[in-house]
Amino acid sequence: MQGQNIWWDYWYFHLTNYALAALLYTLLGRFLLGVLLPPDSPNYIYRWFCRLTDFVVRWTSFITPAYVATRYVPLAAAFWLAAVRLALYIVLYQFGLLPKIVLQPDSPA
Amino acid sequence: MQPQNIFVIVLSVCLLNGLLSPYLLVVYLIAPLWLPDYLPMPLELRLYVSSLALSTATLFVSGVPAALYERLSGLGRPTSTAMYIWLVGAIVLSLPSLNRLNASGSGLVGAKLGRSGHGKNPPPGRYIDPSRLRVRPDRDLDGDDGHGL
Repeated sequence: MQGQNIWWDYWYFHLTNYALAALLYTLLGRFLLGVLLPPDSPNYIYRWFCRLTDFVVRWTSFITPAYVATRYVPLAAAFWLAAVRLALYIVLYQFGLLPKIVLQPDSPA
Repeated sequence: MQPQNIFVIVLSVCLLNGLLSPYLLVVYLIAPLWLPDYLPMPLELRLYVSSLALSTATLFVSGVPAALYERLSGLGRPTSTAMYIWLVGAIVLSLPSLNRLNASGSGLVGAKLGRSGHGKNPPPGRYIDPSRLRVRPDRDLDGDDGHGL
């Protein structure tokens, strides 16, 4: 890992992974709050979760059968985002674009 | 058949795929990639979660053709046809598991019961013979009468 900046040299991986993770956990939070709150709740956290993740839920609704109730679509969206994160990791690994961690032997004191 | 009845069959097929799929080992081995680090799990629980993840993936992926059919046909509501498409998708994705189930009779112990299609001599290393499983007693650590420490 010497001679490389583990953040700036791999910003494309970190930024994408971070954005996907933030969306994924927001979707899980939206689902959990959706269990406790009514769909038209004025709770501002729930409203913001909905506002941040509405586009993902809209895309996921297109590939989710109508039999799945609307309140469960965020779970499906979270699954697809987790799959995208895994695919991103595997593809970048195949092209050698992931940060490599190399353990250095202990230097004598 | 009602859509909810078909959905129960779809779920059963997906669970079967999670249990018997040859890709379960792959999902299990790459678990550090998709399982959060803050959930330390024993190996048995990790295998169980891997099976559930595979079942969930089968459920969602097999639902894509059914959802596209609903959207493109402009129905927008669950119909038996869409659910049958979902079921066919789940069965297609579960074909490796079904082949495995068929090849081993009734699961891993099928070979021992002579229902494997290989007679009483299954290929070595492919099946678990329950009669060869032994519970090895713990080593006597205190070295006296074998009643523990």
